[in-house]
Parts: sequence; C-alpha cells; structure tokens
Amino acid sequence: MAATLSVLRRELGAYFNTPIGYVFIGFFLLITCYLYVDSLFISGSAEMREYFSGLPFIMLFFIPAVAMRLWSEERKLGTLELLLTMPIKTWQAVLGKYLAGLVVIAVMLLLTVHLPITLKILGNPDAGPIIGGYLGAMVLGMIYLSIGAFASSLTSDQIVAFIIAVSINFVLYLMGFAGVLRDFSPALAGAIERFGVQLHFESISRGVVDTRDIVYAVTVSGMFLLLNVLVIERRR
Amino acid sequence: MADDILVNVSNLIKTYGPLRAVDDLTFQVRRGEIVGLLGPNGAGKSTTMKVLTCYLVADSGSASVAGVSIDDDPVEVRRHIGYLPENAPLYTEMRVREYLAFVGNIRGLGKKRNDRIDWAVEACGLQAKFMSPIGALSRGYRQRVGLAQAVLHDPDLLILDEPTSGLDPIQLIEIRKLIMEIGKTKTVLFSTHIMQEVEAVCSRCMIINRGKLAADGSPSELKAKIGDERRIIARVKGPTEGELETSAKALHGVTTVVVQKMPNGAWLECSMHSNANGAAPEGEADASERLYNLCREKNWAVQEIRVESLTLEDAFLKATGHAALK
Repeated sequence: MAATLSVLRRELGAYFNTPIGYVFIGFFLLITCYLYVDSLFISGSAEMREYFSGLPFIMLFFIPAVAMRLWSEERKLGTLELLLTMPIKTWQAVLGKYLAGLVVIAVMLLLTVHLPITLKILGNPDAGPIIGGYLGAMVLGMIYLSIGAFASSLTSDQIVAFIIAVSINFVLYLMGFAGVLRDFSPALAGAIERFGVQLHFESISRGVVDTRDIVYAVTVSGMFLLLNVLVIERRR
Repeated sequence: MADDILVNVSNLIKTYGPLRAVDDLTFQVRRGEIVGLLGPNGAGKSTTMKVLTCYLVADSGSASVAGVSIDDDPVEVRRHIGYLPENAPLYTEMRVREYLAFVGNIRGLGKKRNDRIDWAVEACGLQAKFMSPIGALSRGYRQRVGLAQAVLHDPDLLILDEPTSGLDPIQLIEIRKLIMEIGKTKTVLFSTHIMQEVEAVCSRCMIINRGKLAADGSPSELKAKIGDERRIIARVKGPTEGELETSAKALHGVTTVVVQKMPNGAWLECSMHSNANGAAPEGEADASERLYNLCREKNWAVQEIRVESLTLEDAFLKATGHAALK
C-alpha cells in the first residue's frame, strides 16, 4: 500500500511540478468548453448533453496524451531500472501510476464545474444527466487510461505510445459507430456494439448505472492493467 | 563462516537471444569485502548486477543475497541491496530533497526517513545541493545523489554499476573516497574500467570476460599470478637494431625483446620481458644489471634503464587474453 502511494505521489508530482499537467489540462478545457459553449446558445436549453456527447471522441486523444509518459519516459531515462529494483511488486508500480493518471483525469473533469454552475445561474438544468455524464466520462477515462498506460509500457517512445493508444481507443470507439455497425448482421452488430465504449458511455450518461456497464469498464480496464503488468515483467 | 557469506552466486546463466551474457558464473562475496568487478565492455558485469538486484531473471543457476534466494523472494532481496545503475538515472525534474523523500517512502522507512535522509546527505556531501533540482546538478553530484539513495535504507550490500564513469579527476577522487568510507561498514560490489581504482579501493577483484570469471583474488594476488615477469625498458646508442635484439635475447631469463628506433635516430629503445629473479641462479645478477653490463662491454651508451613491475592492467589484459596488446 505504502509503495503504491509513493509511486502515486511521485507521479502526481511529475505531472504538476512541470508544465505537462497544466498544458494538457489547459488544452482539454479550452477545446471542450469552447465546443460546448458554441452549441449551448444555439440549442437554448440548460443541459450539458452536447458537452458529454463530444467527450468520448476528444478523450480518445487526450487520455493517451496524459498516459504516454507514464512508462515511456522512465524507460527512456533509465529510471525504470531504479524503480523496479526497489522493494515493490510490479503491480504496485502499475497501480500507482494508473491512479496518478486517474487523479489527473478527475482534475481535468472537475475543472469544468463552472459549466453546470453557470447553467444553474442561467436556467434550470436537470441534475441527473449531468452527474451521470460526469460519471460516464470518468469511467471512460478509466478505460482509456488503462489502454494508454499499457501502450506506454510497450515502448520508450512517447509518440509511439500515443499512437498505439489512440489506435486501440479508436477501434473501441468505432465499435459503437452506426456507420460501422451497419455493415454487420444485426446479431453480430449487437455483440460488437457491446464491446465498444460508446454504448456503455451513453447509458451511464443517461444516469442509468447498469451493472453491465460497470462490468464492462472493470473488465476492460482490468485486462489492460494486467497486460501492463505482464509487459513490464516480460523485460526480465 | 557460513553466515559470513553475503552474496552466493552459483552457475548463473543469462542469455540475450544467442548471446550468453553471463556464462556459468559462480562466486561468493563475504561481508565487509569491497569487491571490484573488472571486465571489458559487454563482459557481463552489468548483467550480473541486474540479476542480483532481481531486475532481470536468470535463465538458470541460482543466487542469494543475505540468505534470500532471488527466485524465492525478489522483493526481500531488494531490501538488502542498495543499487546504483550505470549513469545514475534519476528523475531530473525532482529536487534532491524530494527524490530522497520518495526513495525513503518507497523503501518504507517511516518515521526514520528524515533522519536517514539527513545522514545520507551528510555522508555524501550533498548539503549545498539539497534543494537543487537534480537536472541542474553536475555529473559528480548526480552520482552522489545516486549513492545517497543507495545507502539511505542502510542496506547490507551496495551494488554500484560503474559509479565513477564520466567523472573528472577531482570528482573521481571524491567518489572513491566516499566508496571507501562507506565500504568501512558495508559490503560493496562495484564495476569499473579503471585499474588504479581497483588497486586503491578494493580488497578483492574479480575479472569477468565474456560472461565467465577469468580471475578472482586480491589485487596483489592477481599480479603475483602472472608470474615474476617484469618489463625492462632501456635506451641504448651504438648497436644496430638487429645487434641489440640478438644480444638482449641471449641474456639469461629474457623472454621477449622488442627493439624500436627512437625518433631522433641515434637511440634505440629496447623493451624486454624477463623472469626477474626466478630464473637467475645463485650469485647471478638480475636481467637489468646484466643488460647494463652487456652494454658496457660492447661500449654502447645507455641513456636509460628502468624496470617496470607488472600492473593490474597487465593482469587484466592477460586474463582477458589481450596480453599481446602491450
């Protein structure tokens, strides 16, 4: 436990004591808020649906950007060797870094709190979908982050890690895309859709917390975290 | 005594694809020894260290540190070791203080952490740089930070991979002093290319070549093993190269002779290996004296005669099969 926390704290320090964390968060806020505000006044209704519907696609790129440095940088600098010769188990290091990434994502999302606050001032928004939307975004973040961390563990090059992560995220995203699903038989399309993120994100966003969605999130994240551990172990 | 043995390595093998980096290596390290690992680049020194610190898994063979096997409990093994990899890879964006705090936390030092940090900073001379970002430090200071994190948890065994590489002469002396100081109370295993370092710092030297242990002993033992051979270098004016070579070779106890014309043309430099005292029977003078007498007989002018005893570098070259280089 102490070991995981040590890694977590150090990693957070790396994000927030250097420009990296602030740049990413800044850009995320800039892009998402701008796109949302653009549509808000057009739609004229006090809801954040437009905001959350654009998130999966944007996070598809942003989360890998947050995650890409987790393992790649350590590999490149050689500090991975020192980390892994400390008296900790590999999974503790993996978990510590993962949790640090989650904190960054949570901060990213939390900093958009001015949006619902503004809506409350302007109108009468429905709390349920908004809370559901944030929850869904966090769960999406969990999944994308586990993929990003896994991709980072594969290479010492952050750019390559980013591309691998984005590619995997894209595949999962496309699995929920009507344009893609159309080409499959209804039964197969249904199955494919269930493996994609879009379906689960949408149902959580509606404020419906279905066990199937939780299972999906935990399974996919868990799988990639496990792969992360295996990749790190394999270099031995 | 059995519990005297801190590191026990037995038939260790580690391969990278077709290359056997560590080839059936067996050795022990006793408590209190300062052991120098000498070897050409690619000999397997770093790989051996990485296996001992459980960063890599050996293909076969066994090893244990303080009685704990690297196969059974790698985490426990790492508790007993303070490790500094080559080039001291540290988190450059962290300050020295933060970094040592991180290492203290991850090593579970708890309440003792700050005291241990103070001690390590003092021991490694980091007081002035305590608040500096590691990225701003010179290489010498970075090595010191690396050493500080290695000794922070007061381990039984220190494993240092080329701790003096890339340092300037002043930094070299300082780090060596540090290692010797730490070596007074701990067991140290470090690798290096610098022979004088091994002679100055180590009680024991292991020469590794192509993954195998080529020689093992104290520096004086290793030098003695190459035999009584000594090198005699003389500058002579008078004879031709051929004359000098045949005359020198004819001397009793001389093994090899190399004659070279000096740049100024007049003098010849003769370098010979001889069994200094071993081969000379009772009453006969040693080779350098006989060379001088020979020159006097033939009326050749002698500008210089000097006798060089073989160094650890010669032992190293011989052990790694490169004796002909000199």
